[in-house]
Amino acid sequence: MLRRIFFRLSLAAIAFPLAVVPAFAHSRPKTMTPAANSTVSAPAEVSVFFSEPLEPKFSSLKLTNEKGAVLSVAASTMDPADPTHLTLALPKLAPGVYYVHWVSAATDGHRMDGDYTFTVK
Amino acid sequence: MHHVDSLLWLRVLTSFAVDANLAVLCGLLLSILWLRPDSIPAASRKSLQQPLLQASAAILFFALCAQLILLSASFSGQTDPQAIFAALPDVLSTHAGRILSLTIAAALVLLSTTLLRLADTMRLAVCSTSLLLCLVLRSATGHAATDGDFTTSELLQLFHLTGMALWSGGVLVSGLLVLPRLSSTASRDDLALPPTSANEPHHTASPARRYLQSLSGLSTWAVLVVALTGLIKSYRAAEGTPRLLLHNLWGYILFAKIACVVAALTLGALNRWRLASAVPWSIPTHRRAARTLRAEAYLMAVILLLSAWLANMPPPGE
Repeated sequence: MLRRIFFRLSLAAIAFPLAVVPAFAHSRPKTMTPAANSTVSAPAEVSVFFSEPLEPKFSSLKLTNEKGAVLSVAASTMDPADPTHLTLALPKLAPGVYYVHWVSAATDGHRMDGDYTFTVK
Repeated sequence: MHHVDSLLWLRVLTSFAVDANLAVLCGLLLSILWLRPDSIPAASRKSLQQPLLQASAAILFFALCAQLILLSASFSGQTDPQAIFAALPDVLSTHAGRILSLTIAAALVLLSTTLLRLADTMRLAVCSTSLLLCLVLRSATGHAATDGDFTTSELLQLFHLTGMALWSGGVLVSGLLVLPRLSSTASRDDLALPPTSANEPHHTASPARRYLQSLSGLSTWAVLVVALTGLIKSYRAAEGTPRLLLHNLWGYILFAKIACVVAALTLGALNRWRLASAVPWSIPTHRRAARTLRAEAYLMAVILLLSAWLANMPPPGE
């Protein structure tokens, strides 16, 4: 009986590392400035750090107002020293609610997108 | 936040096609070069080599091309074919695009080698080198490549993928192709050849038994390499909590895969026990061993499919 239990436990112990998946990278926002749902003075730029390095050609940030009009003029740029860091230069923002739309493409091609809001007082 | 996964099933199927054919190619080359090819009758060996190598190399090549198109769809977030092809030049300038295009080139060399009229030694040497190159390049994708190229993560991934390809390929090819051929051609005399020397036990002379012994030894080493590298990889990657694996599809698929791996290991252990036992290698024993190996091969196919599914889904917590 004990031998059988030991045999099954050994099998499970070997099977777990055998079943380890060569997972693909999924890059999601880790730190945002301004932070999500925060109320701040008009910022000069939006800065987002992602969980994985990004492919700059397919990753971006965009700012819109509540009506969906795109306010950011310049394209977002990647920090050459840190491939997880995207910034977006902003025009002067009036008080109101703003949406940051982000698209992240991890280096293996896995793409995610989403958005968050902040308020300018 | 959401993932662009409208093409998930296509991505899973192409990943499965690539991994399964890498494994089958590994298994075919193993059965020809290492696992006592003399035990397979010459006619069967010839019919095993050429057409299957060609078919497997062709599927690998086209599946990799499909992966490049899907990579372009994934990077660009487009599903319209025109937009997907328009994004290809940009995709080829990315790390993943470069690695995939090199893998396609290696697969093309592999396919051409199987199609050209070459001496057997030359064909097998080029096939083995191209296949190894495909495995090296495949280990430079996904999470393993996050820290850059020529890293410990990529080396671990290479050992892991190669061990997995040898194990699953050896079992798939032997269980579904080689052993049935040996079964169909083996007569009662083949299975009970007289001992070649006075010290050799009667049963060790069977070609099927010799073949299975080689396969069993190789599989054991491959499993150890896969288990060891998997353990190190999971230790390095252990950021989340096991609790996250409960109550979500990713966790259920992982548990299903672990169950299949346990079942495959049990079947492998069963055949190893049969080989180690002193029971004479009779026709019924041979048939039981062939059935066990065939069941293990089907399990391997399911494991490869579940792996492809898992690899294309975000792990819980992401």
